[in-house]
Amino acid sequence: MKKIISKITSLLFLIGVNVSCDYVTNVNPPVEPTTGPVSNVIYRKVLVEDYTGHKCGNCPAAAVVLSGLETTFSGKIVPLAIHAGFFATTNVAYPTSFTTTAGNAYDVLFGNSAAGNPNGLVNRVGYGTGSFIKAYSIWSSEVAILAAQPAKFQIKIKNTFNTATNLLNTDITVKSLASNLGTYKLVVLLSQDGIIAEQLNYTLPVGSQNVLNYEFNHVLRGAINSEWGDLVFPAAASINDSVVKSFTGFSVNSTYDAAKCHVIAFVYDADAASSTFYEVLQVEEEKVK
Amino acid sequence: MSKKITLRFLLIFTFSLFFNKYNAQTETDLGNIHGNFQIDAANYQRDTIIKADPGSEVFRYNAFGNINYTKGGFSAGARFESYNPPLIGYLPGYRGSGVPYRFARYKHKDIDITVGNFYEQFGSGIALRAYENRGLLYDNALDGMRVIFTPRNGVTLKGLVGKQRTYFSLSPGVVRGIDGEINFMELFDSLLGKSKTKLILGGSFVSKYQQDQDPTIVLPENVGTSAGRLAIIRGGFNFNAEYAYKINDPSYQNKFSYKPGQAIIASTSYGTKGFSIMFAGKMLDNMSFRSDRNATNTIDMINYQPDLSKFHTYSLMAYYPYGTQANGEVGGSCEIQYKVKKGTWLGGKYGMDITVNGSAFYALDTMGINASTDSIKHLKYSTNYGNVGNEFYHDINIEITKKLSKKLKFTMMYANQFLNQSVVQFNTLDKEEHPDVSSHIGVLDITYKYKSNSAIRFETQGFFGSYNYRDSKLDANGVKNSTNNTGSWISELIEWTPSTHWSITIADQYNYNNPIVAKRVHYYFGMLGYVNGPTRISISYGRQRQGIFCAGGVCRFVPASSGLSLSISSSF
Repeated sequence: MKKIISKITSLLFLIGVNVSCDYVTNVNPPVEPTTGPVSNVIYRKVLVEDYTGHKCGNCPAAAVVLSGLETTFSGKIVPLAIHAGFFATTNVAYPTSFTTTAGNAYDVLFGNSAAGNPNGLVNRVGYGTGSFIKAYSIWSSEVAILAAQPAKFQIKIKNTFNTATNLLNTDITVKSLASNLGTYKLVVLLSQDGIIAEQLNYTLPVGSQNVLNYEFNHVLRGAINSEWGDLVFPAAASINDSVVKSFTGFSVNSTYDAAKCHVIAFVYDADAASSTFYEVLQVEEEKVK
Repeated sequence: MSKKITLRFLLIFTFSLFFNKYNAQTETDLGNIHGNFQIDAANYQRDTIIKADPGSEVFRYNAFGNINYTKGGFSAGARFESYNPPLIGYLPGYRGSGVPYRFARYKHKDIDITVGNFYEQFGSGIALRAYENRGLLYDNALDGMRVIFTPRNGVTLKGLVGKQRTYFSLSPGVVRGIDGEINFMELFDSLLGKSKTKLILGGSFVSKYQQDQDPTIVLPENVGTSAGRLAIIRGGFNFNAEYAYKINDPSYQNKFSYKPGQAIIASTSYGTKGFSIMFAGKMLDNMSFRSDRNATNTIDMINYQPDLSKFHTYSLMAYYPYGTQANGEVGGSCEIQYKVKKGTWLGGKYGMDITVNGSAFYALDTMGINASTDSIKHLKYSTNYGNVGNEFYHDINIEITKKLSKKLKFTMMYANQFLNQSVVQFNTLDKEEHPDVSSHIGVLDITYKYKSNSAIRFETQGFFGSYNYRDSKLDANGVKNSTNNTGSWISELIEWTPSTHWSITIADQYNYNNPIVAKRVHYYFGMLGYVNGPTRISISYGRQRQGIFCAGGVCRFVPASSGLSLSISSSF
């Protein structure tokens, strides 16, 4: 017995001593040769939600990361900025309200602002676990993993916008790419880019941190159907089952620049008993006009 | 062998669960079962005066229970925890229930093996410290295996491997560590055992592994920290020092700096009858060490960067507390305790205790790097160790405790504090929004013990703050910005203990000269407590101030709260 214990001890020590230290001298990853598409597989797009607020001085750093992801993962992510919680409330210095009923509902349920801004969700993976809310430094690696996975659904968005009345019609086509036996819901949201307003920004030198002309992108403006959405398929969906959900007469606020607005549609697992409850399985976005 | 032990343990455990009512505290052939539990629950309410809005989840609680079994050298245990949801102010990631802590441990002669969860500390903790603080809901227990080997008297070797607790799951990183310590007096007992001077040397190496899945940057997957320590003890004299070095460890905490980390911590003290003096100092540079490089708040911390500032128990003394700056700081503390002898003019019949304490902490003198090559640029900054930067915090305080008669005693305390609030709490140099806070704080605490088991305690505190808005600008009305200026406070408390079982407390904190008249609010509080042996029950009702808690660039708003609270704890 004592010999066994001694061996275990020695083994543990050897493991400890022999673990290496990785000294990094070049932080740039090697450039891999570009290859063309190897198959017709449809991959998951990734919804990256940035929970933020205009009074959150640490939050612009997350917006910079999100912007970088759009370049790195061009066409593979759908960014969305959700202003909610204490740092999103208005005051004299920050009078513009970016909060929405949908954003507040997400923030309350998911606990993002309570966990400390900035942070985010990546396809809302891991609800109910400690790793659900993610620091922006991990977004890129999470996106890389999810964007390499085959999709269960395909989404197509077709928008028709009446400039005279500001009414938006949108047709969302959801196609099942696998045998999907669970409960799935479709959420349709409106986001806007290029909003100029006040933002506290700690990445800037002292004295210039209260930025008056900060550009806000991907700002959630509201839900076109509802924040928790509608059932996509009334029963289990087979491969190639398809459904079109039409939303007509959605009034886009006249103060929004419709040319900078997007419709975002995503399908998520709505089965409370599922281990992937709330996980976004596919997402798509399309310009309003 | 291990199978037999496991089977036997299971049988004993099951049997004991049914019969421990009768023999829980009695050592029998079947071993001993003991444990404890606690629940803190609150029913919050809307309170528009202090802007407390609990939302729809008005009932919240933190609860846990430990059950441990010991027989000879074998012990095993588990802890159940439940937070659905946790109380306001605690990290929401803890929402849920489960058994995050369970272990089995076997000690026999020179070997001590633990499987499952365990806590551990190497030296001062600067290389590794796995511990829990239930009051803060901090728990970075390791889940894996640990071996402690004592081949000779005076020599201790430790080896461990495991993953850290992250809420109700585990960190993505793996922690591996070894530690060795030699007590030369015990090792060479025959030669040095009678020496008055004791010398202890120790060293540790801790490494973490976390996969690099980031396609945009090369991250070190194995990051190691090495540390060496020394302790010299002679009579009342004590000296401890530890140095640690960490290789490149880019993380969310250090804004992905690849600069190696360094730390040096030293303390020395001397004590004799009625007098003691202690000095402690530290320099920490980029020593945040976490098993998940993306972790925020107080999650997945492998090491412990010590806080040398005085831990105050009086509420207004701790109104602007200080916490170690995770990315770097330099500072120290000194404390002198003196007991004035009985029968002297100051000491009177019962003597008098005087404690003088001072601490100060400064930023490191750093300079940003803007070099052309990526590898250097990613160091982010360089440090001039020959100088210090701006002041973060100081606290100079004196505490006098004196017993006037068999029935009457008092404690008086005064402190002068300074907090560089913008940097320490908000991670910015913007003094306009977050001014420096200087304060004078006084406390008088009087206890009158009118019967052997009955007492009344009066406590009065005053916080007199001044807020320095450097670079302050005038608004459109010509008024200076006064955001985050809460002015001064007073606090009063009466605690009546009519018997050993019961206590009643009534308290009020009043923000009497807040610059905004509408915010001159009373934060009242009342509590009824009952104690019977190991069981403690308390019911309280009152208001809790709002505050912002920031750590490592992440700020968490802890909202004001108001409501009824219940706390029950016991052990067996």
